[in-house]
Amino acid sequence: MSIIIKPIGQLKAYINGEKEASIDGAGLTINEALTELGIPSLLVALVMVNDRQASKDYCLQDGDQVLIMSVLGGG
Amino acid sequence: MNGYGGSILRVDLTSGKVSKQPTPAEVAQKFIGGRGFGAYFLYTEVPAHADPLGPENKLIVSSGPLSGLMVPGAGKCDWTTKSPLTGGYASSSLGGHFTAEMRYAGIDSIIFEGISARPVYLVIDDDKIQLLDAASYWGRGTIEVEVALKEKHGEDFQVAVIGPGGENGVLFACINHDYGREAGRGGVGTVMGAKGLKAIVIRGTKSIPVADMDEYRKAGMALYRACIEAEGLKPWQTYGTTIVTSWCDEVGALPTRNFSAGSFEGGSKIYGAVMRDEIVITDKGCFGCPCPCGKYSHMKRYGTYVEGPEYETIGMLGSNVGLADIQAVAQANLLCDDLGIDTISAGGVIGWAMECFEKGILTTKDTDGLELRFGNTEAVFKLIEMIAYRKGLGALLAQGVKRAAQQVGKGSDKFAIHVKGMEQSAYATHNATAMLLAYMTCDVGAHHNRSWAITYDLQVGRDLVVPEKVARIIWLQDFRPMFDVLGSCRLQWVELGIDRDLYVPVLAAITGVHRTWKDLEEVGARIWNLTRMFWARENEGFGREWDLPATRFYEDPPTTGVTAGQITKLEDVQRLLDMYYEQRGWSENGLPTPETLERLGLRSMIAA
Amino acid sequence: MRLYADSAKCCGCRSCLVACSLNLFTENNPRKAALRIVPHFPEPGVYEVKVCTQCGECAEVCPTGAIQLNERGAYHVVADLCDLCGACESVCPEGVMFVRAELAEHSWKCDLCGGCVQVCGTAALWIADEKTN
Repeated sequence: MSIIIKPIGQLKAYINGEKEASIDGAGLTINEALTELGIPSLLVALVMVNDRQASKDYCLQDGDQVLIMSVLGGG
Repeated sequence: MNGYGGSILRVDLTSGKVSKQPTPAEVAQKFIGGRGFGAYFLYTEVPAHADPLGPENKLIVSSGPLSGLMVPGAGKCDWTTKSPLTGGYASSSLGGHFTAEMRYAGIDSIIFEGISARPVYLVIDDDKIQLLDAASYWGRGTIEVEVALKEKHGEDFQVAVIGPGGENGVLFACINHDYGREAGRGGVGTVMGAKGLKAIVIRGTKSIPVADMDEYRKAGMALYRACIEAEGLKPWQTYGTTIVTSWCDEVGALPTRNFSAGSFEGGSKIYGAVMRDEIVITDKGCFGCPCPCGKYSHMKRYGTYVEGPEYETIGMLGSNVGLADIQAVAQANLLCDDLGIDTISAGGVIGWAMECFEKGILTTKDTDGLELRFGNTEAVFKLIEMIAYRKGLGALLAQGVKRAAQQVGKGSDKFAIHVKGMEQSAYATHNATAMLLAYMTCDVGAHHNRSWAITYDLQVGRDLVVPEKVARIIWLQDFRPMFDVLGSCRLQWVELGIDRDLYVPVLAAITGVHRTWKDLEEVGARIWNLTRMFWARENEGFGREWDLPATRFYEDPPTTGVTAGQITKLEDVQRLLDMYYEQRGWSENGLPTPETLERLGLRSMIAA
Repeated sequence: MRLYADSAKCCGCRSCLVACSLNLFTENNPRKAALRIVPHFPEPGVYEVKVCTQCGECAEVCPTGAIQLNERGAYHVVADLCDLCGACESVCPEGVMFVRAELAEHSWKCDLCGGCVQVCGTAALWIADEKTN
């Protein structure tokens, strides 16, 4: 089950500046997927799955569109 | 002058006289506009040691060169005064549409002076300016008064209005506008109330001239395109600042039970996604904004509506007071808005009162029977009202947490979470040294918006105490507030990550003066040092002691949550200040040296 | 072709109004724009957007023939031919025909320049063919 993960902004640095990364997401939580991609979970402020905020415990499903963001500047 | 409304409007509330002067070119050159004008007029026109609630204090509202133009987020004005809460510099930013209307009326700053013998409100209709009797509005909530004033004068007028909080002298009263935007912090609403000024109603129908029309249109469009094409646009539009709630909880930055911890057991009930699902009905934007962060909400349980809650309010009137209920937080938000008090300071002082109650320092005898336990929704609602009307315990809390703790004693000052008398905003800093320094050295007191650095702390090591962290905070302090000077929102850069160099050509095309970000940051440093000198002038013995954080952050590690057991050492706090003063060009006690003042072109102003 | 608006997506920012006045008058003045945003606050808490639907009623009633089709197929005001009689304003079903003598010497309306669409961050505005929309 291939899942596409799109990091926004500075998080791209963790996937060599690419726009997106694809992983075999079968049964993985978001946190586990981040570990696999080498992206520090603590820096990921927001996870959107199919345009909606999801928790990092969310279990990835086939066809999920995942966007991850850090908060550069805050309030 | 291109890029300026052209006039400074003076309103002498004592005599009732209104007058206009041309905006001074040399002030525009050195201080640019917005917050820069505010700082200039505050320092040069308010006499030393003026009573903040007296006739000598002034309330200055200023738009900036970008306000009202085709620039993303060009909807900000700055309100500056001597703070009745802190006794120092107050500067509060207001969004919505007020600044644009100032510009269409040809006004760069309005300076309110003196005190009116009876309640009045100011009406500006292009060049027709009058002070009218506000007796029938005094005492009423901000929402209904905005409705009434628009009905009376016209729906196309913009309104800024205070509530009972400002009228009754709550030291952290705010100014409301557009049904849910505030100039929140530092008691700007208190000063407005002390002056007897209920509201400002404004309409302008003139056009704003710019230096190079073609270049401005090109550069303005480029900025809009950058925002609209930003990858993070959709998430930001969907959640606004509530984007960070769950993450702050995760990293230990969510203020919980009076900042006794940084994670909240009930956190998931107040996350952004839950809020969106349960209450949000409209994305509401300020003037010119393509990425509206405002979330207009309908609380079905209470049958009410509010713009919000924004992250700060969720932190301070949610987790900080133990409320795991987004509708209750939204309702508390509405009560504060309508009564006209700052949600952040309200949450700070209520959290403190609750901790006092839990520790037996305050009892039901002091609270008229109210059980001030964390999580008691009714207590939060009741206290907000008591504060606004200074009734019972509200009279104590209305003075802010620093004074309240001084009066109550019994060690309660140890958990009064403030810097310089301003309640800390919604980031717990038990172990985040850059953000802690940000709060310590912020120019108005413990507010976050000058130099937000939490991701940075996590990236480089949250407990690290190194010169680079200090340099980062200083850079952010010189840079971010420049948006307040330009009269535009910074969140397009902050949240969407657009290239800030896109602002350079549009600013040059508007004003005819080319300024790089380096030039702008120099103005930022100038303003920063000027307002530091204002604190020193107004407060005997001002210095390092005033920059210390709440004791909790070096004495009282959380016992629960993600940062359990973590705390910053006092010696590291002092080391941060040592490095900060050195890098700023200040003395060991934290005052700008003569050389620094000279370098920034402030020597003659300070000497005067 | 005409301009469409989805009021539910409007956030009330008024960027469109400034872009419009720049196109029509080369001025920064939302009061000289050819679309309207009507806020309904505090309740029900929504914005309403009124745009020109290119219905042509204004052109029909104009006694001087000042309202004509432009190269984009949109009705627009030929300034020299307008005498500010106001007939167009009274028939416009959307209230987006503007006769304001204190602001301009001729009436004005949407000429389908697309500037508003370019600055709208919430995709509340778009231009499309009437048949395919």
